[in-house]
Amino acid sequence: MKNMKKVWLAGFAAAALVVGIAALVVLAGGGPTTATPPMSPTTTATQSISPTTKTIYPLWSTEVLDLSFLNKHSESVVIGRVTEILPSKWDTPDGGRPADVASDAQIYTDAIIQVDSTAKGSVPSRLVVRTLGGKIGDHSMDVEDAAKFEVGEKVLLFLTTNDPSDKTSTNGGAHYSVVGWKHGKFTITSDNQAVRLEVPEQYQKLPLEEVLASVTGQ
Amino acid sequence: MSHSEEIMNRRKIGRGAGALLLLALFCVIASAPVSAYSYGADKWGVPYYWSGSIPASWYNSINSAAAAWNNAGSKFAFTKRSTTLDIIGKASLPAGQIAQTLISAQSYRIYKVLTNFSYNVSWSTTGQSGYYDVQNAATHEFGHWLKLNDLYGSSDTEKTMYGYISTGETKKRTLHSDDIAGIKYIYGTA
Repeated sequence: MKNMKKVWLAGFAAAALVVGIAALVVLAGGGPTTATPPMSPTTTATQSISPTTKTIYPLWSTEVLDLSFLNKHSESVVIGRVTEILPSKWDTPDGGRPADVASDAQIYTDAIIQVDSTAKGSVPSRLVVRTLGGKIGDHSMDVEDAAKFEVGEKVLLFLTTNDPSDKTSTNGGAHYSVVGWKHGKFTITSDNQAVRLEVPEQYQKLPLEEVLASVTGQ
Repeated sequence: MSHSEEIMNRRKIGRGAGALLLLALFCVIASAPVSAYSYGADKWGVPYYWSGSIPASWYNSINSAAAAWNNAGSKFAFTKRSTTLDIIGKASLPAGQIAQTLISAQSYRIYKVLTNFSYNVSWSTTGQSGYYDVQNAATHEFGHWLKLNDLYGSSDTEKTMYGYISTGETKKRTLHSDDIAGIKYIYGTA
């Protein structure tokens, strides 16, 4: 028994010795690690400017979650389908890159909606919905809470002709923006539910009839 | 093996194990870093200031909002500095937006921050009912300066970084433990 104890003690001592030697080796060969600077982005001959990223964080009133608020601030309410998402553009008159991308330049993206029906207001059968944000080459603008669209998606939209930014209002032709951004855009499911994501759970899924009734009062 | 030889062997094993243990202990102690760095306790400050659109009555509220983050116990501090590009102002914002922060980065480094409070709503510095509280909103917006994102979960409603705000609300003035954990995670604990 006593021999066994000594064997265990010897084994433990040997293991501790190995660990200690290993630590010495690491310390001698390493030293403090230094932070590795971020990799330079890949650039092309036409994109020699350092990449820029702009991020917008909106703070919302709780009122924006209510259908009554969306209805109050919308000029039209439509049901339609997303048919196309255009390439993102800079907020310059021709959509091209500004001379100084590190300035207040912003990026926006237009989605084309084929309108199936209108619950409120008068709109063309094919309309443009503009959202702030997008990506052009190495430059991106990330907008928290922007309404996001997918081609083929069936949507219900609370729309306004007010631009999401005063910097994009005169660009391109007539266009709309979504009231409350993600709050005013619903995806219509096959079982006629109106769904919006990234909002508090109790506001995410509503019967389509309920949403329409909030607009028409019927 | 005789009894005395057995005893001798046991003693040798014991001495050997003891020596190994001492050597191991020495190696462990020797390998422990004595001091890889020394922290001088001062903090780099991220500057902020306000545009001419901000009324003087708001200055204390904005400074108090910055102080909430400065006192969170991290290696970070906001510093009021009139020459900075990082500005707090007022602007016309989309319906439903009470405030907005825009962070600009180039080559993955932040070079400018702009926070705007909406012209289109009513503000108060006292938490008055029916008004949005300046310090309440400013504390939240300063969290975005640190690159903390908005939170929308049902368990997040009491946190400063919860993404919705109500009139008369002042709870965002005081950092939640999760907000503090966020800044400490990013910038380290002082």
